Amino acid sequence: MVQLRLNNRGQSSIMDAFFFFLIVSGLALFLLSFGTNYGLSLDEQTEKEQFREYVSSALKVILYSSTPRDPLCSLEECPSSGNPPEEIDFLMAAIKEDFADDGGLDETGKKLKDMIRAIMQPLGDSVDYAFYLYMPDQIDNQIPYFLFYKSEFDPANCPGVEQECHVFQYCKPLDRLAMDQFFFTLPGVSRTSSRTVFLSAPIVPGPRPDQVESEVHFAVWSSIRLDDKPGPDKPNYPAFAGLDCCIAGTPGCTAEEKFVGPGVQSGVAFLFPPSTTLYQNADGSFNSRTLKFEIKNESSFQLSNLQISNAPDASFNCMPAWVSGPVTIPPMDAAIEVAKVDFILGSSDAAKSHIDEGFWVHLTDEDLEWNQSNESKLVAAVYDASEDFSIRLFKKEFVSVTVKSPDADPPVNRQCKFQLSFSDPGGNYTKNRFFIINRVFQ
Amino acid sequence: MRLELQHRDPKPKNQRGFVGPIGDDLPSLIPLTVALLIFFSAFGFAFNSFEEKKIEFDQRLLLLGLGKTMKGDSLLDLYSEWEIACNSLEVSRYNFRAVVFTISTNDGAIFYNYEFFKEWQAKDDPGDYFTWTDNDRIFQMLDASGTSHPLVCDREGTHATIGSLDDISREITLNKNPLRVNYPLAVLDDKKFRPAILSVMVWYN
Repeated sequence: MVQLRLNNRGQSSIMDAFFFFLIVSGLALFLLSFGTNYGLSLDEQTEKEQFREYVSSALKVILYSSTPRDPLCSLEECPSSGNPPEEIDFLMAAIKEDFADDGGLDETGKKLKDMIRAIMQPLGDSVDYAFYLYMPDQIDNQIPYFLFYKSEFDPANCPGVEQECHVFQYCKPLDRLAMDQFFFTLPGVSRTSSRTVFLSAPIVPGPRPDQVESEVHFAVWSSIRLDDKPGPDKPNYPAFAGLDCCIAGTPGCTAEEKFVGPGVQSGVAFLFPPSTTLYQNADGSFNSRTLKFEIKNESSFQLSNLQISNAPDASFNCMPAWVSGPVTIPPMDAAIEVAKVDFILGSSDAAKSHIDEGFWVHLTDEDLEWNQSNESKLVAAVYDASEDFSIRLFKKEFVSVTVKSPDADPPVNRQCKFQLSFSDPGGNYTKNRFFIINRVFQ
Repeated sequence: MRLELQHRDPKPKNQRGFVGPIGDDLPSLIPLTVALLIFFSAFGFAFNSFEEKKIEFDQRLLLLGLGKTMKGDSLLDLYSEWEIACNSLEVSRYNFRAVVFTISTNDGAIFYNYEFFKEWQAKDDPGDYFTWTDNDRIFQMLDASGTSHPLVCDREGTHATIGSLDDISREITLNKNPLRVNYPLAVLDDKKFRPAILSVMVWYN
């Protein structure tokens, strides 16, 4: 039997109150912490969503914005002429064309950087970002372009500023692994990507350029410090060093220098354009086709293997012809016509009469003999400066090759296909970066 | 178990300090009161916090929604697209304005986040102030008839001219807890897609 004495109850009621106090305080603490943390994840989510949306829009705008074909012009005017640029295209088209030249983005790299800078300005210095092209199927040159907007905490690297700044860096990571190691060190990266196809000169000579599967990536993250110098307290230096970056615009680190492509492989001929067709008109005249090439720097290369072949339904027997011998392109300040060549379907005697040994392009005796002995009467001839010449240096940058029709004794509906290839056995071609930027059929 | 309550002498010698059933509980009222005070303070704080955050989330989600609607697919090639998007917006409780600003890709060109306000300053010269209605960075787009319109949208819909816009003062707007979002946009202008920035701001009515 338990006996409770009424007079002793007062001693325990204060303990009850303290217990109550403890419980309520705990509840209050829980409420406070919940109230403080409430919505933080939602905050984060909306911020991430905003980032993602911004980045995907930015990528679209970068790829679809217009740009003048002449890298020296703005959308409004060309400094040389003061007129608006004649040719305008999507920036992505210009990038693809630049890549098709030699596998690099040396001509469009800076334009791309300027576009990205302008579009990302509203985010200010609160973020770092990277924009790059990735081509998984390429053996080398998997990452032909990598732009990095980096927080710089060393004032020595901030020209004209006495505090932290952001700098653009051009990078050349060796492969995907180097890139992955870098991105692995970054927290909270928002990224978007887009797939596209680039064209490049074929490694093995063929009628069509190679198709290169490509990914365009854009990654944004909140600014963090990255170790750009080695040291015991620089844990993420190795990952950053793998990017092989330099500050954009500094000596030795321009887009023209950093993003030079591998060019065409030495000693390997490539075909450009794939092919075209000559038709003979009903009045007996042939259409002509002009292939337009751009050549940069002084270059020496060999014209070879001009092939003219029969179309399947041709009634005219088109035979192959070769043009060989070194072609030396003078320095680019020579805004003159250098040499022209006509490839003529017609009488060999008539064509031979135009041959002049003193010109840049000439046929070897062997070629001529072959042509002369051929009953198809197909010859190639070199002319002096007259309006019929076909290889010429336009302005400072262009060489064109025109294939023209004969004007004598033509049967109707003749059709020939031709291909023109260049080879560079001595490596000058690659070394001096020969660019084909355009093919124009006139 | 059986409880047996026994009432004995009300104030025996060994129970000093006993002042009766109520007087005996008085000290315990102090922690009780403090606990209740703490609890209701915390409750009030949490409630206010929830309310504030809910409003902020509403505002933020509205902002994102407005931004996405006006941005569309990030390519604006017809003025009618802008008009349709603007007219599809129905916003209550909040005020908003969406504007497309031109940007330059030239070296050194800067986009100012405060261009929204009538006090925005375009140059380093502190005396060189522009009013909202003078803002020539607002993108002007031609409609199908060839008439130029500023790419602006607010609760009144689209605007025919920049002159018809109300000024937005930074000082006044800042008191109304404005939120803002920017998105890049490519806008067709004379057969060229130009890069631009869509800015959307939402604030209390």
